[in-house]
Amino acid sequence: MGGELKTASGGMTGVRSGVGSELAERAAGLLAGGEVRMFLGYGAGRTPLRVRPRHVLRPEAAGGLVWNEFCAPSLAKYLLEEQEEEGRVGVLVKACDLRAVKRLVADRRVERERVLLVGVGCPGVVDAGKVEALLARAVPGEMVEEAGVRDGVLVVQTRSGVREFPREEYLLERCLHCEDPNPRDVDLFVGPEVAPWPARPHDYAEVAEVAALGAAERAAYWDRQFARCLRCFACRNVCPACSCRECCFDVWEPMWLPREVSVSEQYMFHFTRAFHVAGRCVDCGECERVCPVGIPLMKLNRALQKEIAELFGVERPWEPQEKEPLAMYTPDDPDFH
Amino acid sequence: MKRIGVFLCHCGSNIAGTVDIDRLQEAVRRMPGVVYVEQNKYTCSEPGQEQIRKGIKEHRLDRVVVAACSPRMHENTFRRTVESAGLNPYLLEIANVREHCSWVHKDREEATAKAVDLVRRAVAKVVFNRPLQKARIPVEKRALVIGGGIAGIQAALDIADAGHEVWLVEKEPSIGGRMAQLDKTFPTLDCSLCILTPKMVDVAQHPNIRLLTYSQVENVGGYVGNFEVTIRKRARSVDESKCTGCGSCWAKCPHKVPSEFDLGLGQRKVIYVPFPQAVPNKPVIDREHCVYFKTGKCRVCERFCPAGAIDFTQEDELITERFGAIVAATGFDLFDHARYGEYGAGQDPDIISGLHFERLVNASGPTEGKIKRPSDGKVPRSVAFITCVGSRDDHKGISYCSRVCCMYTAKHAILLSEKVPGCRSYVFYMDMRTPGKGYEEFYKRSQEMGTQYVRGRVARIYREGDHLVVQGEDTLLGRKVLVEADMVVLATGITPRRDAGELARTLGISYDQYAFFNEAHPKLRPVETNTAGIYLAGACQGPKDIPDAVAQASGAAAKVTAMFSKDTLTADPLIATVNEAICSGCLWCKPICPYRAIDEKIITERVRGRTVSRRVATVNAGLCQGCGACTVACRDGAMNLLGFSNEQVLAEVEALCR
Repeated sequence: MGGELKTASGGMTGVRSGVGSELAERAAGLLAGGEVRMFLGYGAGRTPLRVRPRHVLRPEAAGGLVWNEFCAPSLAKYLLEEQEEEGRVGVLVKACDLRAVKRLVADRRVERERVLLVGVGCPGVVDAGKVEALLARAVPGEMVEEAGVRDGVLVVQTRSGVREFPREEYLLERCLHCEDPNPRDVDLFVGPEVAPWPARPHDYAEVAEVAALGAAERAAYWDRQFARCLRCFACRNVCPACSCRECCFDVWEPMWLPREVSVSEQYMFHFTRAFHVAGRCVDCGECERVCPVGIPLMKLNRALQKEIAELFGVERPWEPQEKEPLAMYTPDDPDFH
Repeated sequence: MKRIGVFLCHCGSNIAGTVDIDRLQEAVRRMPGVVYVEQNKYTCSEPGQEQIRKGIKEHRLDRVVVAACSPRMHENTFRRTVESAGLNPYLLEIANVREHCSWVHKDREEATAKAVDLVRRAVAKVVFNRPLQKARIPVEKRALVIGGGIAGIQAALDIADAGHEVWLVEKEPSIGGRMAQLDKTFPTLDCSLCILTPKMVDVAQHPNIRLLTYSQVENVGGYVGNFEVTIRKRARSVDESKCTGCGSCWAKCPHKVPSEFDLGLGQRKVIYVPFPQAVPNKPVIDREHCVYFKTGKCRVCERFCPAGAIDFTQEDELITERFGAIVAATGFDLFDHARYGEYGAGQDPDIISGLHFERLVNASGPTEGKIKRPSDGKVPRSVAFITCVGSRDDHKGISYCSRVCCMYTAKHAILLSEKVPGCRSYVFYMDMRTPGKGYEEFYKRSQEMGTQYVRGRVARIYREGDHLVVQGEDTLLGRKVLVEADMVVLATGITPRRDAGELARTLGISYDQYAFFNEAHPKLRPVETNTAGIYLAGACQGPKDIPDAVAQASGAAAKVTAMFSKDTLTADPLIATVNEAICSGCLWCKPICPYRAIDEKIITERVRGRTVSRRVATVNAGLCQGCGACTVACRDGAMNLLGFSNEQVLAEVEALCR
């Protein structure tokens, strides 16, 4: 673990694929032609392992857009803020991000006609948090100077040398389960399609692992996880299924979530969050990715996904459904009289 | 601070026998907001209610909690009590310390502790109770009766006689239903049609009844007092305003198909009335079998019609009308004995159902009332009757008793011995069920007329040359029985109409595992459904004989006329409301609503100096039944169920978790 230390190799260029320039051109064209009033994409981040969302308003500014293996964040949630303004917004989506946009559309929080979806084939993205942790574990205070993926290997130039990470090590969890890295039903597609790789099946192994613990051990496990929670609400803010105008965690009357920080209220928060996205979670894992203290939130989400798959026969509960299994009355429901 | 009064009921020893009321009273006295506690032997009694009134006045109570039985029993009683003392009736809460506590626990300590918790919950909730006002909704004084069998006919006549307009919708070309297919009726042996046709004619002639035959209910919207119903009037291909019912068309029609009315034992023409006494006596063209509709040639009926009433171009008509109440009287189907492999699987022509026998014995039936066996027309010398075919048989998935088969089998045995003197008859039965006026006597009469009753199920029926062999067991004598019979009549049971579930979904009423429609309460509300304004009559609710179906029909009619006696209805205010400021407009509340009470609407508001419009959910107060499904689906808490508001429920949870 941790990427093998190599002697410094020659000048690394990072990744500047041809897709990036094609994307910049298309975005500039869309803005210039008035087809969109804004284009949402990625720009360079503060460290080579990370990118930042970039809101491009003028065609001249489109040159700052990038596309590479560090474009992990989903841009879907930014669409929510753009709904009040008139006009269409272009947004760059990976296959997984498309699920998030569909979620927002299904929840009627985003109007499909007011979004121009620009799809891109994704080779799998880097879990920056995981890589940074591995680097820091090897050399405390390690600084990344350059990074790029070459032939399925993440090469990181640090102050102390070059480290390489194999694909299984650097990929974000959701990429391991990716069934098709090319978004379908988009308005535009930039760059070539990417060949799929063998996806890990959704066997809910991580759920079974926790479920196998005894009741006391399981409680202790979650006590430990929730005790770290800072109530920063990053998990909620990034979640495409959490799009209420006013979140129940923010209101004072009734006070669904008392402000007291205790283990029992943390349970209240996390269970409520998990139940509120149950049947609507798109399995993007963004909540877990953005959690600053590393709470394994997807274990809760997946446990509910599993239940829904088993109880309602919804085989892909992470895909927005025409009829949501938990939000639907059917006359043959045995519980209805 | 609220001033809460708590009234603890002993319910004789029902509650006090298990819950220590004195200790409960001590605990309640210390609960926040409680200013007065009182106990009574029977709080629902007049003195008990008077205590509540006195308490409200003397202690200036503004909230009341009664710890007693289930709110299903006396919530309304106590609401009226507090109302009579000047409080809003919805400032009352019930703590159910009987069904939820004393009746289900033995240990006095534990039961008392639980009772304290239950009262604490109610006290915490009642703090957040708000005064609620009943809404008034107008009533459209027009009734819809679905199904023109005896139950539907009776309901329609009773409502119409009370002076209200009734629309009677029947799927078949004529009203009359199953009763029209019967020969005689037990236990008096009246001719079925002789007592039915006067009522059918009454329907046709009644100034308040509009009869729509060959028609079906397609869609039901709206709510009690204001249903909006779409009816499909199928194309008859005959102009009813011109047709005189002279019969030339069906006399001359050259094509015959098996008659549904005679269950395929006889034939009818392609243009037809189902039976001679049909109401209306106006034919329909069966377009599926009509040669003109298939090949474009024929038109014989048109040529012979003296009134020029044949209209091949007629199309289905969709009629939409408003109704205040609906009576479902859709009747039943017969169990299909093809499911009994051991009884010939419906393949042997001489193994027939009870209804087939009715047609065979009927003077206007295919054999003109001569009992002949279907295979070769021979008059049978020995007939076996088998009861409980498709009833009380868990192996066939039907556990219930069809209630009429014992009696109609006794009737068949009597009719057989009258029509074919000397014919031997055997009835294989499980139990004889004769719980009606004159029924036991009727059964005795069939025995006295020579029918041999054998207690036991028949294992199988098989053919041996010219006759059938019924192999069974006489459980009273404990021996095997073999009976030779020329014909076997299976007393097939009553099942719901095959499309009953579909109609129930259209109406928005619930139904049981078999698809019989559910009554609101099996004892106390037997003709109402859980959907306000929709009532039940006849066998659509469960197996019934004619007197029961007629009685229930009159009961349903009484409910309808009682409703129509008022100009407006009061609607329960315990319904969902939307906090539009919070509502995200996701509308996941819409598909979860069983009553289709939720819709969307667009509101406009000022946001940062601009006027914007957005979508929010809205609740139709007439349709909402207050089930609360939407409040659970609503993540931002914009849906709130009055009387069970988010604030109230959270307060209850807090109180119980304390």
